[in-house]
Amino acid sequence: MSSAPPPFPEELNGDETLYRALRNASHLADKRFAFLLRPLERESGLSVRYNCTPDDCENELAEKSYGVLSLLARQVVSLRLQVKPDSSNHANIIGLPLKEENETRAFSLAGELSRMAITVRSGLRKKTG
Amino acid sequence: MAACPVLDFGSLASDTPTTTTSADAGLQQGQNFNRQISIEQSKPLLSQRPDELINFWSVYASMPSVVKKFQNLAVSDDVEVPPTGYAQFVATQTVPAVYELLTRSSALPEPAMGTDDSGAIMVSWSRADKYVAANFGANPETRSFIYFEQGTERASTSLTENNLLDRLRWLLG
Repeated sequence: MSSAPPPFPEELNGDETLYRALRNASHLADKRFAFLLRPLERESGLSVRYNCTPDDCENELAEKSYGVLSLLARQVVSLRLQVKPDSSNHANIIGLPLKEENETRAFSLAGELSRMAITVRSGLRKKTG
Repeated sequence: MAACPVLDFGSLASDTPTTTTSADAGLQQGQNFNRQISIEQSKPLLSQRPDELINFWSVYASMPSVVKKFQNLAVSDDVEVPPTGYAQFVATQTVPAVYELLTRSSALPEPAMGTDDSGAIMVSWSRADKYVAANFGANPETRSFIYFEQGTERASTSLTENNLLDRLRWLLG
């Protein structure tokens, strides 16, 4: 008996839109900061949402958001990074180092991603309720 | 008539690139926060050449916003993690000192400033196709560095006052 295929693809490498919510005001001033891998993302990869709206992406943040950036999966893959979903609307960008591990590569790749990214929404938005 | 304050900006006159010495590593090790500034000679304000006077005012006009930004960072709601005391101390010692030494600091773009999850401070400047970022480590054990790029050329170096001065001069060049 064959097992059912997972409800999400193994990898994203096409025109899927990826969203990254901005946690700090500084991410608006320098979008590159938003694409620096956080220590808690070290094992999983850089967290992005897909197959959702920018609002859905922002709502994932606990208290507030400073905006949302978007880019396409194929743009990320062009940098020899991988986009691996772990659910039907969440994926991780694999291959980014922590800045503490490789500062030049971390900032360089964050720069490439930030240049490709489009600001979908900007400005402080607090969660209500 | 009130006495005219003696303002010293002998150190602002030179724009000659500086070299990095092994002593610069002191910043990283958290042992040497003293500014490596050699003050040439104190001169009263009225004895300055016009270009030096213009430079003086442009430096002091551009500094408060940077200093205020550092101060605000510790109490700002706009950062998830406030900077550590160590990062704050080193950054507030280093960046204003470098601005003071730059003869064209008023030409610097407004820096972006934020923190990471560990409380390190990140400051960046962009001008045309050049980019400079300074990462002030959260504690003496974590590396503080400067990242810089122009087009496809990217590199990083240790974060010292001299190195940051060189990089910001390069940014303005």
